[in-house]
Amino acid sequence: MPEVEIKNLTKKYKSQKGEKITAINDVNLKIEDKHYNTLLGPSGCGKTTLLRIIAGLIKPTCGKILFDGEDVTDVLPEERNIGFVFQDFAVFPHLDVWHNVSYGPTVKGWPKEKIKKTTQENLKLVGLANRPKALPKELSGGMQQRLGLARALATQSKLLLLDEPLSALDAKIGAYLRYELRKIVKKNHLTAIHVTHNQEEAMTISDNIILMRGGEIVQTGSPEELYQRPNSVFAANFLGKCNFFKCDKISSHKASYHGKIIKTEKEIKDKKIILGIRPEKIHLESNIDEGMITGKIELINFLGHLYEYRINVNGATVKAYKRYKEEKVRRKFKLGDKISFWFHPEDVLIFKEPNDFKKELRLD
Amino acid sequence: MRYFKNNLGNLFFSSAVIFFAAVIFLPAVYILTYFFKTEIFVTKEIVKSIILSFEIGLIVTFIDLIFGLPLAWSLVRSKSRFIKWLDSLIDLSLVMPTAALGFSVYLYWGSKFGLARLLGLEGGIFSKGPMLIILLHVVFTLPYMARSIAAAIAQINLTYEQAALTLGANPFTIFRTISLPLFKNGVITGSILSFTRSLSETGATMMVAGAFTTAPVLIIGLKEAGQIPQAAAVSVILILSAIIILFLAKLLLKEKTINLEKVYPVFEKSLLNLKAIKNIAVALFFVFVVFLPTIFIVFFNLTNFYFFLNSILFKSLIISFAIAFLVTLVNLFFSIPLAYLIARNRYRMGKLLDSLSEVVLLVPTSALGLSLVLFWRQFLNQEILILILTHLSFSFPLLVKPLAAAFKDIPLSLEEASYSLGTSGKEMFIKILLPLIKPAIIAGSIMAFMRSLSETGATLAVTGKIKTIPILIVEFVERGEFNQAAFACVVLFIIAFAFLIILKHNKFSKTS
Repeated sequence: MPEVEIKNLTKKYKSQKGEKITAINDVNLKIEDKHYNTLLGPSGCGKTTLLRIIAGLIKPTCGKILFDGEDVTDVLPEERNIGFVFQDFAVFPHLDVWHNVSYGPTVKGWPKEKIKKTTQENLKLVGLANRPKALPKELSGGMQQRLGLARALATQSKLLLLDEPLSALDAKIGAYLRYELRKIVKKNHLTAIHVTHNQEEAMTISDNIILMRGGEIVQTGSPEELYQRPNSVFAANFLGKCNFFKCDKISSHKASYHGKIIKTEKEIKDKKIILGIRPEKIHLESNIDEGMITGKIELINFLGHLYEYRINVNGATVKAYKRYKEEKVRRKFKLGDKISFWFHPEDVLIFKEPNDFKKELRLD
Repeated sequence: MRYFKNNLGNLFFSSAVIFFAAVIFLPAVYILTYFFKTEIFVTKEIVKSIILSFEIGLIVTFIDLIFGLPLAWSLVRSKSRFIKWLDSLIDLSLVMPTAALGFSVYLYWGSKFGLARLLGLEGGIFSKGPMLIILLHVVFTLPYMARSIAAAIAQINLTYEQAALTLGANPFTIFRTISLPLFKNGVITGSILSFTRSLSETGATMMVAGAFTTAPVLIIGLKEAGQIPQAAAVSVILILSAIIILFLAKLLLKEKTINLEKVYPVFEKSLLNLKAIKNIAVALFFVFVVFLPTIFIVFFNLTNFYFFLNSILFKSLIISFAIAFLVTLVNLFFSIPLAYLIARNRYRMGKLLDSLSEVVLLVPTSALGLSLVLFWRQFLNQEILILILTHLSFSFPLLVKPLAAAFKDIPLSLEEASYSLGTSGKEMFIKILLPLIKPAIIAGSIMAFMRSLSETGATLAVTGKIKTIPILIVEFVERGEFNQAAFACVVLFIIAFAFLIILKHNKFSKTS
């Protein structure tokens, strides 16, 4: 049911020293009904501010918020009918599990039978039905966040807002809860907006990722779209790992890197370009080939499911992920070896050289 | 235990414990032995005065709650400039010497020079009696209530209230069902402080009591009439009943939880319209009932400078200051190790020592004075020495409390880090801990100093010939020499105000 539209939204703060800070800069965004959306970006990119503005907890400086085409910019948060899940859970410490979940329905003045029914349903949904009398402090972090989720769902709102809901949890529990979250949202046909700085979390949980930086939206699209076709050095670097090579254009499908030719499938438009290759797309050769880029293995990391190679090329580090057998590593690609590597033209990402390359690579 | 294995360290701590037990605690509660020693004559007068004291204490606490709660809420949550001003004025009646405060409140409400003149009336608005006592007690107990609640509110994580908002609760419902339960303990602390303070106040109350006697005033009267057994009896009853009532109150309030099943969304939402009225009512109450009566003395009469220079006032000032200075110094020396013991729970004595020092705070000052006289007369007959020992006793807990809180805030790992770098226990204490608790030392010292300077009830119970400033003020008022009393009060007021500014400044330096 709910479709969220954000029009020309800007939020400016005044810092304690009196400096003006623009947290959100003229953002336009349409969030489709029944989709699982994530607002992804480094800390300070404005994603949490945007979520809180949607919830009504922060007032925007200018711009509009529409729920299903209806302007809710001036509607109080308690009247927006939303569900909000907090990073630090914010489950009421003085109320037991049951009363935490029944709080929303109670303050909305629903009839008693309905309150009881919804509370029971939602406790069951998150797996807390057997502990209605427990106080939050008796629950583990994961349980507390389940409680926070049940509490938000009990209002029967169709719009679920989640502010870094998994980042205060142990990594493994967080990774497990991801799937449950997505399952619940899909089963109940909700629209979810989930804020996170964790790209892996965003990739696994979302239908749609909204990548933000410096108060602006960089790119939106499905996880595949953002990973396969990032629109900038920043996007390529933030979602997954990427190696970058500063190149000069030779022809429409060829570029040169320190005298070595790199072929691309897509057309090269600009003169000065950055080519990006994901580490898993790099192929290593133990026989040195003068036509290929060559370097020295400076580090081999065993990651369990694969090996990470760090290759020193002209002073810069290139990463390659390889699923080699132990024996091959011992025999063929050893620490300190000189090697060459290559990649398919269709795996090459092309970006126009940004003004400040180092700034593009910063993750904070 | 493992850190202070050397004899010097043990001596340091055990001397503090012995000092506390022998000089502070035992003399303060010595009077309770009279419970067994003498036959207690419970006269009608005694019963009446104790009932009056409790009635006043309850009413005062109730008024403090009604106005202190919204006041505390505004202090923490409001961003308006008026509130910022209020914040720096609210403690004024705390540092104001009680005798001066009592006189000021009397002039404001009770005399024809005060509010009456403003309203064009012939006499005062209220004559001396329970009404005026209540008004006076509200003035000096409201800061305890507001500060205790404000401290608790400041600790509430704002996201709880935001969470309730997103669940559809209106602000009033949130206040009642989420915020209030979370700062409940601040309300309990504030109520207990206000109630005990009202119950035990002597000096200021004497100024406005008239023909009515509260229990602490009765103790002074009986003592001055030489009826020591009766005075002791009142003290014993007052202390015991206070302890019992506080114990019961703590027990009851802790159990009480809100009923969440009963929420009235529409009605509670309509209450929000009263917000403006509430703010105005609280502001008016503070200005006209607390602030103006406190400082009214300044407007009264200031033209007695000649009298100041060659009179007993000057002598009294010197005596008062000398005692306050000496007492603060001695207490500081012993309270630091004791506070450390409490904070770190060394030798597992923390809880015990903490509650014992609370008992000393609870004992009404006139009863405390009487207890000390009765105790020390067995060994000493120097009035000045007994006076100093009395002042040591009631100001000691005022130092221990903030110091213990400050020690608690220092993570133990800091001490361990210092030991791992090879520091000795003594060095660690002086070079690491003391600098860190400096703000608390300053705050505690000023509180103890001011309390010693302004204490009336206990001093009256002890002295015959020696006149500290508060005693002098009481005498002036009793003799009807209002101008001289007012002048003495103004002198004390200016000193109090100066200290308040230092205290405030200290607070700021602590937070930044």
